[in-house]
Amino acid sequence: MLTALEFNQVPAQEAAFRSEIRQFLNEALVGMPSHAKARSWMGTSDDFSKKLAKQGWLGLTIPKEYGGSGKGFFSRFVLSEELLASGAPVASHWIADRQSGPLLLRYGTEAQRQFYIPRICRGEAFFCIGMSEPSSGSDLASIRSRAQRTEAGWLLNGSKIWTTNAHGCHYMIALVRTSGETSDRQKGLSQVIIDLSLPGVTVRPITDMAGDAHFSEVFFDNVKLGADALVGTEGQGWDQVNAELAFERSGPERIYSSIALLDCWIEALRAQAIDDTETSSLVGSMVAEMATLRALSLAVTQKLVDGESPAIDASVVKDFGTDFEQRLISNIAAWLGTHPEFIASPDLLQTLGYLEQMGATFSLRGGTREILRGIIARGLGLR
Amino acid sequence: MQNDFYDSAERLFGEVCTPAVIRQIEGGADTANLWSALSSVGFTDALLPESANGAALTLTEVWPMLFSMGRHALPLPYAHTLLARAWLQQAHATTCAKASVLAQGVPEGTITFAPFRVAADGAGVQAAGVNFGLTATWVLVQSEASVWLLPASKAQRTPSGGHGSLDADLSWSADVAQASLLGQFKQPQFRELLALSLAVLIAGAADRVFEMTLGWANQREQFGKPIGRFQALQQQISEVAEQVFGARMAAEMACRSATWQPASALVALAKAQTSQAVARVVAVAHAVHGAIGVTQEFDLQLYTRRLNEWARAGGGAGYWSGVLGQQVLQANSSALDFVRTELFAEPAA
Repeated sequence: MLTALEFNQVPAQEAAFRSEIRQFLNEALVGMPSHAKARSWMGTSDDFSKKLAKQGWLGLTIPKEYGGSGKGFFSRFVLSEELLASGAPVASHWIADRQSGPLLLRYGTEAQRQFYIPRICRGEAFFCIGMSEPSSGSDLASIRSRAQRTEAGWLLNGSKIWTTNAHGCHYMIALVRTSGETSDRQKGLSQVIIDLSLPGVTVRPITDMAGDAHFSEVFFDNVKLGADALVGTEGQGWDQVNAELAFERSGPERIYSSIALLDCWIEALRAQAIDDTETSSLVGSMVAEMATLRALSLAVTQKLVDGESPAIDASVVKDFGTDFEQRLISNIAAWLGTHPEFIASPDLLQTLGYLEQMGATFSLRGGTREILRGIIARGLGLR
Repeated sequence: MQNDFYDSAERLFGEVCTPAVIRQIEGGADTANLWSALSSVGFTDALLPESANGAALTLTEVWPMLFSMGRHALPLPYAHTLLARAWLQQAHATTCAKASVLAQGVPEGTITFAPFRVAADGAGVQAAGVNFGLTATWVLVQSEASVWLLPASKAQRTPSGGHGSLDADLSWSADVAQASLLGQFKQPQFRELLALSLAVLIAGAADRVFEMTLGWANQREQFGKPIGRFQALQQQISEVAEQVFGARMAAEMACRSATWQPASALVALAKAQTSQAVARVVAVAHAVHGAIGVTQEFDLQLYTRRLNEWARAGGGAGYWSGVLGQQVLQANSSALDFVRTELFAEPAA
């Protein structure tokens, strides 16, 4: 059930950490154009991810015994916020850091933890998440990829699609069927770790409409997995995935996807001394909404700190946030249309172009708008 | 927010400000009974310093009570009154406002603000479209630097809003105006105080309307099941849940203060964010309720009519986002840093 989200500040002791991150980013990202920043957590740079690892900023909340920094959720909020708002290319390590590490910590065997998590923290193991299949999008429970028990472990067949950065990753954690039939729905699904360099795995990047290849199709043809490929409990994959999605949905990712455009546009307004009522009003409305979303996201973070599992609250913030991110794009596009004499730099137009093209995915990735609203409705007691 | 203040406020307002009472007052009944029931509890001087026999609470501390006032759509400017009394006490203590009206301290009764559409000339003072102009006892009127504390009983009052509205045009004679002038004030901030009052009331009333909508969606059956089981309504209600959460958070942020006074940038944020939410919240609430929702006898309209008025009163989303936007454009920082430092009081990175 949904309960009120109460305001809370970022704890004061995080200020020094933020300054440290800011200083690092100012140097690492110097001269980066806005349209590159707009790619943010769709932009990859293995080098950059390794640099972050050297700082100890991968696996920030992972305990030190597994190579992490053992910091709290608010530190992670600050780090995520700084990385996203500065448009740092974080896609290489993002999923491993945000989801796979915490998932393995929670459900993995001690051997799995010892093997994978320190590698994640060192920036040596990048992970992707195998969810969607050609015939299974929002209806995730209908997946057909299957891992069959063998004497040595598992034999995997099937395929995954729309997998973010699969072509840049070492491992996939996939949701697959390990027993029963498609008609059994959520029953009989499990999570397995797949080394993407194994024989029988083919990764084919898919070019998106912005000209990038941020996602891939992955085929499994009689891929032999060891017995230790299973994550958590056989048959409990559905519940594990849902717990994992709560991590995915609770961060500040869903506020800042279009912030490179907002900053670039505001800079141009300042440079051209445009401050008429209508323009100020548009600027202010977007900043007000961004601040409100930030406060809601911090409230969800506080619930994580308090040991709650705010899956529904996180869905509220994510759906609200993606709506904001998309409206920001269409509002600025409409504003440019109202002001044909405005001097829009190529960088601004390329930033807008990229976000117009990829903004559609904001309310698709990690659960569509319609699915999220269904989750919220359930939380409200309507289903 | 489940604190003692909220619980006692909810209990009190639920008892003394029933939908029947709201209907009577909208119909022209006297407000004296309601006011004496409200003021007897002693919230009224919550923001005043102890030296003035107040409770010396901060805005952050009284926020739950203000929110509850919105949930119950009090037909009096009670939230306004708390802020106005704090302002008047400060003016009384720190300036030489020797007007007779303040000589005995802050007067009894409710107080609203009139910082827009004020004309002052030799014929007196006129304030148009005054929020709660029909039920307020006093009106703090501002025209440029001049501030008057005018008794509504001595005004010519004309209702200025639609059916059931409590807003009014008020005009006072030159004599009354002269006797009620408090003096000249550099920044009386009545626009902010009115906007803050309304932002919190909107957040509360939106919460109430959402609660009613959810209840109705679960109760009303069509096609053999509760209408809330239909995805078409679930999608809309979920969207409204987000807006209601956002409005509440924005209002709570505006009440972040270690004194009785709000930070002006946060007021702009809150009035903009709450006001923009109203149209969608009200539209979905009425869509879910169907025809019964627009009837006089059903309570929904007591809250949705008020929400529509409050969204534009004292400056709507466009006005206050413009105020905030000006501050952003005049700053020299990224959007995130503006938000962090100006709206969350965080240190520069």
